[in-house]
Amino acid sequence: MTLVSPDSGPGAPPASRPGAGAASDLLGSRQRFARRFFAKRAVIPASLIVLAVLVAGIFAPWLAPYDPLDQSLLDTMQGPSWEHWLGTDDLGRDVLSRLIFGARIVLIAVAQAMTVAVVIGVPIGLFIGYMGGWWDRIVMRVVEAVISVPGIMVVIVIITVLGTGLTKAMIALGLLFSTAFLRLARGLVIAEREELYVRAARVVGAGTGRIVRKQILPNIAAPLIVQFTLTTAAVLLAEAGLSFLGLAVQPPDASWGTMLTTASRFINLHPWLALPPGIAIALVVLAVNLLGDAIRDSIGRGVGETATLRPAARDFSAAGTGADGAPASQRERTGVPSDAALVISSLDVQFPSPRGVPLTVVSDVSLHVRPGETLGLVGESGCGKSVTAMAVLGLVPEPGAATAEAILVGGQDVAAMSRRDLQHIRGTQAAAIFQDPTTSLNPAFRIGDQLSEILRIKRGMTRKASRRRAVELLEMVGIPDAAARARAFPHELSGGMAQRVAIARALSCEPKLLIADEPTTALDVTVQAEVLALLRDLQRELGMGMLFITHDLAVVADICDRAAVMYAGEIVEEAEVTELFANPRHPYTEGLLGAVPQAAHRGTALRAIPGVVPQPGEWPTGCRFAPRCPYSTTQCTAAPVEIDVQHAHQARCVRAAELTLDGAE
Amino acid sequence: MLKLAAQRLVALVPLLFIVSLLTFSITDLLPGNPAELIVGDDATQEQVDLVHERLGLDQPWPQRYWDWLTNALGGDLGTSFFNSVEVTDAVLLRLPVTLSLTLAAVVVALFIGIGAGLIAALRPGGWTDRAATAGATVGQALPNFWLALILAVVFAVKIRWFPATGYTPLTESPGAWLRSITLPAIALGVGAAAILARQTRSAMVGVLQTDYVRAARAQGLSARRVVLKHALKNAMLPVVTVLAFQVTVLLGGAIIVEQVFAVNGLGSLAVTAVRRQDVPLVQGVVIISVIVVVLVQLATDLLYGYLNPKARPS
Amino acid sequence: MSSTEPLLAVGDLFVTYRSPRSLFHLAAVDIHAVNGVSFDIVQGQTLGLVGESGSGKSSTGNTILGMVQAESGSVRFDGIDLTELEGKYPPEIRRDIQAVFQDPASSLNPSMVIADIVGEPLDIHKNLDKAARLAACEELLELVGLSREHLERKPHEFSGGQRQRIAIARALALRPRLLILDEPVSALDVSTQSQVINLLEELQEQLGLTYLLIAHDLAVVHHASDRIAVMYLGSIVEEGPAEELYAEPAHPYTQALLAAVPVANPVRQRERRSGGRRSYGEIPSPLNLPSGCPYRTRCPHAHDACMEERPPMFDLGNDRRVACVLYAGDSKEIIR
Ligand SMILES: Nc1ncnc2c1ncn2[C@@H]1O[C@H](COP(=O)(O)OP(=O)(O)OP(=O)(O)O)[C@@H](O)[C@H]1O
Ligand code: SF4
Ligand code: SF4
Ligand SMILES: [Mg+2]
Repeated sequence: MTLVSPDSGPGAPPASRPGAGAASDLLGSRQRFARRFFAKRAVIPASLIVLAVLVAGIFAPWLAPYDPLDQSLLDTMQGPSWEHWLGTDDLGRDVLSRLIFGARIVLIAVAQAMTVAVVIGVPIGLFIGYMGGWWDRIVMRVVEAVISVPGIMVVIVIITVLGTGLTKAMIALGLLFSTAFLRLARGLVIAEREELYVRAARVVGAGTGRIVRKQILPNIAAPLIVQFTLTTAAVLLAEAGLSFLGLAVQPPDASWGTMLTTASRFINLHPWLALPPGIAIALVVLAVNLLGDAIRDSIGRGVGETATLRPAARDFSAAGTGADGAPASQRERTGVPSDAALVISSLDVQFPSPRGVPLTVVSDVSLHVRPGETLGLVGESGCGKSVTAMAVLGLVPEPGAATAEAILVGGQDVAAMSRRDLQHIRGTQAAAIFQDPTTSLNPAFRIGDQLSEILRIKRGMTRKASRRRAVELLEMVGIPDAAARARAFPHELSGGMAQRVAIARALSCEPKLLIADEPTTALDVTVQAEVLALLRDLQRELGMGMLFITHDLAVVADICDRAAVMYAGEIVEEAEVTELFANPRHPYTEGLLGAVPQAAHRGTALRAIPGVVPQPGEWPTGCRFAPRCPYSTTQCTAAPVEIDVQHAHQARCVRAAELTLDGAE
Repeated sequence: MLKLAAQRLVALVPLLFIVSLLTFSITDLLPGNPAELIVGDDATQEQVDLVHERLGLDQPWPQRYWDWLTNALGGDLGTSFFNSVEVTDAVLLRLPVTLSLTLAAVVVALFIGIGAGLIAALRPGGWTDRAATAGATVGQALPNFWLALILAVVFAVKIRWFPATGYTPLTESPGAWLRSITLPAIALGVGAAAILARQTRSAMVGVLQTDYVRAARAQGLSARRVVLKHALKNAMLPVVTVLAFQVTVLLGGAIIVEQVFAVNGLGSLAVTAVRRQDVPLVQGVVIISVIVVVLVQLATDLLYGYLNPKARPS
Repeated sequence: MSSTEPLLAVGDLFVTYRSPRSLFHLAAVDIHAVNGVSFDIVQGQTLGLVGESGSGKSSTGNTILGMVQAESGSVRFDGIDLTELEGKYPPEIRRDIQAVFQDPASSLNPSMVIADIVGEPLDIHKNLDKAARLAACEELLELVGLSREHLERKPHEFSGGQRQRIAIARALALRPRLLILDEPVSALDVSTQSQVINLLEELQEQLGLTYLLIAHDLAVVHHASDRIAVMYLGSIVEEGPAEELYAEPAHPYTQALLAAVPVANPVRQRERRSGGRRSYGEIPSPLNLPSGCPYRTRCPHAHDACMEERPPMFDLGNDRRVACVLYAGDSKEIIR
């Protein structure tokens, strides 16, 4: 770390603030914060070091063995000994005592500089952030000017005016570092001001003062605290540097910086002198930085994390881990053709959980897709559709692990494949398109180049041929003026156009299987209709099989030949679409069909499924749908329910045979 | 790209103006009369007044600023109070020294920082990650002038690989220049390297989780290619921003490190100027370093525009 | 129009967002988000406002809430023109107009407990003692199907549907008369979506609420609205009673929207598709609106007359209005 930079420390760019939920965890659930904070290995030693400095600084006169200014010209520049544990300096003063008194300077310096920095920076930042307009523009121009001058020069200029000495130098430092707090506070307020809940507060009539106090401050306290810690470390370094230059603490007073000035003069004669103060500075700065990091990591990203990855509320070791009776190999699966584009048998996916027990998110999923056929995979958010799809490509997100009896893509088992072969399969045998087309294209490259890259690498085309082919592919997916559009960047395209480009890229090597993970969910209906029509045409032309993931039953009705309904990590029903919609055999499917708003008219209530989808780890032992099922009996909750694979219309319901369920209107 | 450069260049003008105004007005607050400092203690009031007038200190403040600004635009930053040296000449004489030190430190920081950050990001949580992160944390805590002292003792005094003090201009002898600059550049660059490493790591970890990386993997591109081509260009965006700022920090840090290695750069010029309250010289040093910083910012803005098509004007 | 006096009457509303001028863009870039929108909502009814993304639905809603300032036009609520207040609504109007937003994850402050989220409007507008406030909060939660145990929890402990219920409870705290529902169910799962729609309908009946329901999903709007207004590029292109409009869309854009939404029945959907595929075209940039009819760049019936000026609203009778020159003159027939 270098001397005097207002943004020193990794917390500097306001962009890296912890999520909005941070403060809730910091200020509200203190215990959770404390648990995470002290779980970090570095926290205890770091706290001890900080504590040591505090104690040394406060009780210096009692702790120090000698007076730090006592000279003894008889024993100058001695090494460590029994009398002088850390030796003596050029004037025979005891190094240990000077080090202990130096800790006092550290405390004073930090207190002074940080007070100035926070008291000036935070209120002004809050003010201009919330007000915006001219205030903001003027203050920010000045701040920008200040931070474009190397920090030490700013401080030197201020010290020239104020004069040298610790307090004056620390005021100068405080002024400099106030820009960091100002910018952070401003950035946070601006981000926060746009939050929907701030708008909601304005709608209920909350005034500016109330909004800043109640809605904004608690949410930005955490990043400010992190910034405070990191700035403290920077102040420590800066104070030492300024004293080293002779601009802050003046000799003969003992500060770690001035001790190093002495050391530097005698570095050739007695290098030992440089070690104690240098190591002291480095250790304390290290400790404070570590504490800052630990605070930031412990407040974590409150909202999302806990919502989607909640550990099991109770012990579920028997139920959740996909223990489900007979191994699937012994079960007869009907109608799996030998030339299938995709066969998945018995796929399980698990993620490590904070509790240690792995969390199963997909269990015993088996399905197949024939060439030229579209299989829909429907289900609500979090039921495991995307994870299943990614497992086919061997791309389950990092800590997750997929296990399957077999995953056959064009007859080859990807589950048992080397990384190299897997890589070869991707793109050529199976390719994928995703939900958000604008983010699934690389923003930094032209779309034509993104296409031709694949062609060159996967099909060995020359640069020229690949360019030509890229334009043809763009024409194939209906991009007007393709030759010119090939030079566009993704952000210059509309969502629909971007999805067409993504389709062109996925199909560039004519794969046998296309995995489409909610490809139209982010699009407007008219655009969706066109993309669906395009996919249908391309499929007819190229004869590929398609695994089409969606949560929208109407889209299933439109594009799929067969559909598998997923609930809580497993497939609960699978059939030809006409059959599935007309005669559902699983109560969940019936519920979904009934909940489609088209089905009911004004005045009559929609048929809703009561309750909420259980999170992984909270799945019931027996039928996972039982708590929400209107037909549930004791029989349903006794043991995990098997899918009935004898039937072409498969269902995972013990009462499937006896129930008569309503189909689509 | 040209349009972006032009835009940026024009946007920098007000910044320079504000900096000059700030430095000018703050240095004007200096206690005491510079004229008295110059003529010495036993001069008569008349002599003081004479110098006072010669320096133009009897003019009102806006007039002096205006004069200074118009001269500065013509490249004339005034004359030192003490030795009638042209400020522009004095600063330009020292500037190459500090610049070459800063640039060398930037190279050190880029190499170590981006390298370590990348290695750490490829296996988050693995031992390379932990080692790199620990190294960065320690590197961030080392005071650069102390590191300079230690390096000097070890590599110059004890094993004599490098000279302990002094600076040889590049034009004189490239080999000697490299040897004279190595230790100061490392001492200066380690802190920035640590920050760049952390930034690179976190940016890279973030980018590796994006949809377009997932899509590129799903398309069957090798992990190596995805990282080095698709991810790196995007991950460098925040790194470039941090780098621009670190150059400013390094320029300031050079002032201290120069002291340790007895290199006569802008640092010693600035420190003496401040001690003697040589206002024109202080102003000159500040303005010239801000011009350097501003040019660096311009370069990084262009780099940013190259990396991020969205930042280019349409 | 209707016999009853409307609770909300929006008249010829324009909203323009200005991008700040800079040294290089001396001409400010204006985004015309809302271009002369007019509609009425009768007390106790629901008006559904549908359209694709960027059509200006939310801008209209936000203008009624006073979050965005109108360029011109009027928003009459109970006889008072809200645009004249320039966003500074007196407490009695704040109390009367409340809102529920799309994303329940971000519309609840993550650092506040439910009791404070739901209680905040009460704290601002009513001076309740502790017990009364608690009782009021409990009653509100009960109203939306949650219970008192939830009062001390934080938003992240709830599912999307439950969070939306909390947002609804907050909106109801002041017993408003008008609720602006800005895509209240589009972030929710299918099964929870219908729970929330049902809840909103029950509450309307129970409390006599008036709704402006903004959504992109025609099926949802059709189910939950008395009248529907279809927006396209900042203009209302068609307006009428929900059943009739849905059954017999008059404007070419409404027809396209309805044709584009698939139905959740494979047999019927196959039949609809067999009519041949059609192309819908791309929505133009709001920075660069077409002259004349806003829909003419995508309209299969576009002809010269559509280029010149914006078609006025033609009355089709039956309380229906449509902005398309095909309905000029006395032709009251709906063109298919
Ligand atoms: N990287 C990950 N780490 C931990 N858990 C994960 C990860 N990715 C997914 N999960 C969990 O796996 C489960 C299934 O997720 P998946 O994304 O497959 O659902 P989905 O059906 O595609 O939902 P959506 O409709 O929202 O896309 C979820 O509970 C999710 O929390
Ligand atoms: S097994 Fe029982 S609880 Fe499960 S879906 Fe069938 S009837 Fe309902
Ligand atoms: S006015 Fe013309 S362009 Fe517009 S919708 Fe009617 S026919 Fe089409
Ligand atoms: Mg998904």
